[in-house]
Amino acid sequence: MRSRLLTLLVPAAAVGALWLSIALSAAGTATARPHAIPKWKDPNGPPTESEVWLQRLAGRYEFDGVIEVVFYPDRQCAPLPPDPAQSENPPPPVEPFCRSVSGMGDCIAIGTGPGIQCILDVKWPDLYEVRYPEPDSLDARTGVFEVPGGVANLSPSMALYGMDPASGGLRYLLVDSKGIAKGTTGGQIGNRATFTTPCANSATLLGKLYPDRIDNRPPQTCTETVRLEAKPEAKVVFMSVDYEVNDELFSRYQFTLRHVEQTDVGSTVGDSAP
Amino acid sequence: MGAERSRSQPAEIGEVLVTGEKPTREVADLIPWLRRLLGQYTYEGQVDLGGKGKAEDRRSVRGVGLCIGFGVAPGVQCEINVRWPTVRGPDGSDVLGGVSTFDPAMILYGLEPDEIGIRYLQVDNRGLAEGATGFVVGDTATFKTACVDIPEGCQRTTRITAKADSDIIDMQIDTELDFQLAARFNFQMRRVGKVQAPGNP
Repeated sequence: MRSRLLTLLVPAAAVGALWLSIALSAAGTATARPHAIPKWKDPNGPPTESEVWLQRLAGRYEFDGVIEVVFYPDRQCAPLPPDPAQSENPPPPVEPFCRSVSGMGDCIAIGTGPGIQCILDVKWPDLYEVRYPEPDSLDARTGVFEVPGGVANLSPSMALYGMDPASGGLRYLLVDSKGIAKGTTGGQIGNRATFTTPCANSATLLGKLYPDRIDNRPPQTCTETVRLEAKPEAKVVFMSVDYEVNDELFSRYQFTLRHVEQTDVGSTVGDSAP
Repeated sequence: MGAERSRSQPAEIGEVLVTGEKPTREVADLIPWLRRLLGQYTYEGQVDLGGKGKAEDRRSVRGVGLCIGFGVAPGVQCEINVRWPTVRGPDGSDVLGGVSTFDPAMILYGLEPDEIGIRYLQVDNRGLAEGATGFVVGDTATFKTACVDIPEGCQRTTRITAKADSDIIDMQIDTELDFQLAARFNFQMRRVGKVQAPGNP
């Protein structure tokens, strides 16, 4: 009987001791100071594809491009041909829904890491949708309405780009000339990074758009998709921004960022600190 | 006696903050707070690498920073170089907060009109981006975000207290692992030079 009891107790004691050992070990780890930290990646390992891509953004750029409201295909940037039937007392020409863009940008590396900080000074004449009263129209909603992205807000503005290991992608924040921040986490595939986010200050913006816009639905949603294409060793970075209202493409930026001088490798943010 | 004492004294709680103040609910009220950030600063303070307040875990902090404003609100961009003596584990491994990643780092602050708060993004010297939308209560903005440098179970809370007409800004950064305070950085930013707000000649 005694030996049978021992046979039962000894394994139980062994299991108990094992659990106690594990518990003490865990407690020791939890209270150890300072805390050891797990790593996303080996800091001494090779740079990731996103890190390599991000570093391509460093440099000084000249911005050229156009902003257009693509929702109205007959009012895009190309001039309308003259209509012979309207030769006498023609109506005023329709103002095209586009604007030329020009400016400068300066993007520098943050220390020796792949983070990038950009100062932008990019301008265009503000673009609004003007609705005049029409004699035969029942639509009484006339006035000056906003279009997404139509009002110039990048002179000056600042942007930060960095790595987001949780998503395996990139993260950016842009603060515009009104102090309004917009940004999100995005992905990079090949030479292109894509960031999609709700339009900044969307509640206010949606209230200022022409109300019966799309399929007679009032504007309800607005999203902004930024695409940056930077090829290795290229002298040009392409940037586009698509604004969608009610999931329909409404307006678009298309910018060409031309390198005007190579970034001085030694002149990083850290070196210029006060 | 010991048992009697432990029964009569409540257990120590890490932090309880009870306030009757509500977050600022007007974007216009956030602008004065943002303007308080502008300036050239020296950084002093301590990092507590265990978060337990033990003297042996503390390291002194030194650094400089420059926060400039741009645009009408303004947006604020800060460039900081903050460092402390490097601490490593017994086997030379990295420990939480043992090496400054703010040498240098850039931080961008702007208005978040949809949530009526302040949004920031910080990119450190490893290129890691960490940011959130924070809310201002009184003179303090609080930002909570998942740690970008630790895969799971880590939360970082940054509190920035910027009082009107003061040349001192307090910044406290708490890192919690599994809801336990694991590191606390206390930075005192002392304004040593003024930076003109845009639009204020």
